[in-house]
Amino acid sequence: MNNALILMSENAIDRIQGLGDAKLQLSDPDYWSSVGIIALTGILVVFLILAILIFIFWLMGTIFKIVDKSKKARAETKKKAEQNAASAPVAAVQTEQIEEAAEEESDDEEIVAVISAAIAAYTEQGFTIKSIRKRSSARSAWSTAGISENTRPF
Amino acid sequence: MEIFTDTLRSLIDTSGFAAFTWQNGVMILLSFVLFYLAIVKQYEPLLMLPIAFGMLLTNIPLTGLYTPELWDPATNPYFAPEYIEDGANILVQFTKETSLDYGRVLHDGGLLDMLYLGVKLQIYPPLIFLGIGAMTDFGPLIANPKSFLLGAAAQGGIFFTFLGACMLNMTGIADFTLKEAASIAIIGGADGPTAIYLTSKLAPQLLGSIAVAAYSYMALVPVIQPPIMRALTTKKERAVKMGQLREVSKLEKVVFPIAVTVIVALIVPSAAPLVGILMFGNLMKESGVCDRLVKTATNELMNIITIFLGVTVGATAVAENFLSWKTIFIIILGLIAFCVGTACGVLLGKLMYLISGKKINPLIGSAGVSAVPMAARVSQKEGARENPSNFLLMHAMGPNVAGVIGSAVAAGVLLSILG
Repeated sequence: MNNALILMSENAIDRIQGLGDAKLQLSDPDYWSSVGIIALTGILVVFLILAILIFIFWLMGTIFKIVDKSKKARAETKKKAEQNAASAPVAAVQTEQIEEAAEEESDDEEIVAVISAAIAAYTEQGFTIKSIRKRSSARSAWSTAGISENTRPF
Repeated sequence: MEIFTDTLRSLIDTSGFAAFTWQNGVMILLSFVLFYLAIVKQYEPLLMLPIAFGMLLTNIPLTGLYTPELWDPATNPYFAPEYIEDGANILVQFTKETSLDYGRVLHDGGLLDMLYLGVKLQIYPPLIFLGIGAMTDFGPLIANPKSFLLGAAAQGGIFFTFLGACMLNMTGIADFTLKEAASIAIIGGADGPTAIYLTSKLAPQLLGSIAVAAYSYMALVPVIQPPIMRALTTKKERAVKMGQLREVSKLEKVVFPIAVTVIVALIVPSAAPLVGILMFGNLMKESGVCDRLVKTATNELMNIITIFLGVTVGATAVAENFLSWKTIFIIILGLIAFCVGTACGVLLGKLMYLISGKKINPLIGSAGVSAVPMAARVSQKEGARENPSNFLLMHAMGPNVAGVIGSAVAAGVLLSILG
């Protein structure tokens, strides 16, 4: 029915367009119906197309979520299987991990050097670095920088 | 001595002063106003400055940089040849057509005429879109596809203004043809390249004023939008915090531009030059394999095109087109388009707020009027005003980039009906 409307109106619109002059266009009996139809079909088509896109990307999103979930589930079962196979007590695994983390902290001299240089340049005073720990929670430095960059002009 | 005065006189006769009219003077003063807006107020200076300079150049008489007569089919018609074989001879018959004779443009045109070909033949706006696509992250939109609705709602300003321009005709103070009304309405899309694209096809005589209006209002988004947003929402609605957006995988980001291109181009083929090229730029970015091309598209190419586009669009603002009541109405209607678009977005945002069980902040609706990323920043700022820990930016980027697609689709629809 919508299509029929468009087809019917197109003739009138073409005829009005052919008149060229704005005053002549206005005097055409079909002027207002054509104007209304143009505006209406316009907004409807925009909504229709974007609604189709919503549906498709919603579908895509759900598919990806399901795929992701099954992947994660698979990875988890694999992990569990490995843990079981190792048959070592859980506590041992944990201490190992902590040791690894500690190693990461102390070993990376390059990073320590970079951080102390940055602090030195910033403070211009004597200081001692007691510990450097990686922060895992909250917003990362880059996204904080991104947000302040994006909101600065106000 | 006589020779000297003669040369002096001929020099004076060929100087700009001989052909200078008061209209030229007014236009040059207007270009100074635009210089002020661009340099002091920094209203979209990257485009406003070239536009102002194009306007200045074109209104100094006898420079021959831009020749309006070449761009009017009435003064530069194309005669299509038709070859009739008559035995050993070939007779040529010419029929006058409604299109331009581009051969004469190349033959007689000045520098700005040559550059204007890129506007007239719709080359520049899609190339700008290529760069925009290569800079845009559609992630927030993919994570929350509902944002598309807000991007569509904000296009309501376009169609409302189309009706408004036609109603203005009825009062008798203005006379806009349907094509002109549509070109003015597209200012509500808050998207410079789209506005220039549509106007250069439908109503090239209004190009200068529409471009100036569109870019001025885009620069004024932080001034125009907040009062409307505050008036239409309650304190409680504005303070709504939205949950974190889900992470979007690379595969989704790669599929997005391809899918959008196929769907939009199939339904509205006339939107393909804008949406298709926008998505092409985005695919180059998201694929991650065309870094060099992305660099060119977002930097050098975009800058070159911006210069060409700005200066030639400014050059179309010759006195006889610009100094008319139409320009004033365009500026008023453009503002209405912006305001109604913002209001439509916020109102649909309110509706979604109610339907979603108060999970969606209606402020992100106003970002649906493209104007990337300014409109999204305004949403962020308004949200943070109510609650400083409220971060709406990424949520507003969804409707914001959806608005770019929405206004390009709206332009395509208007083009297919009226073009």
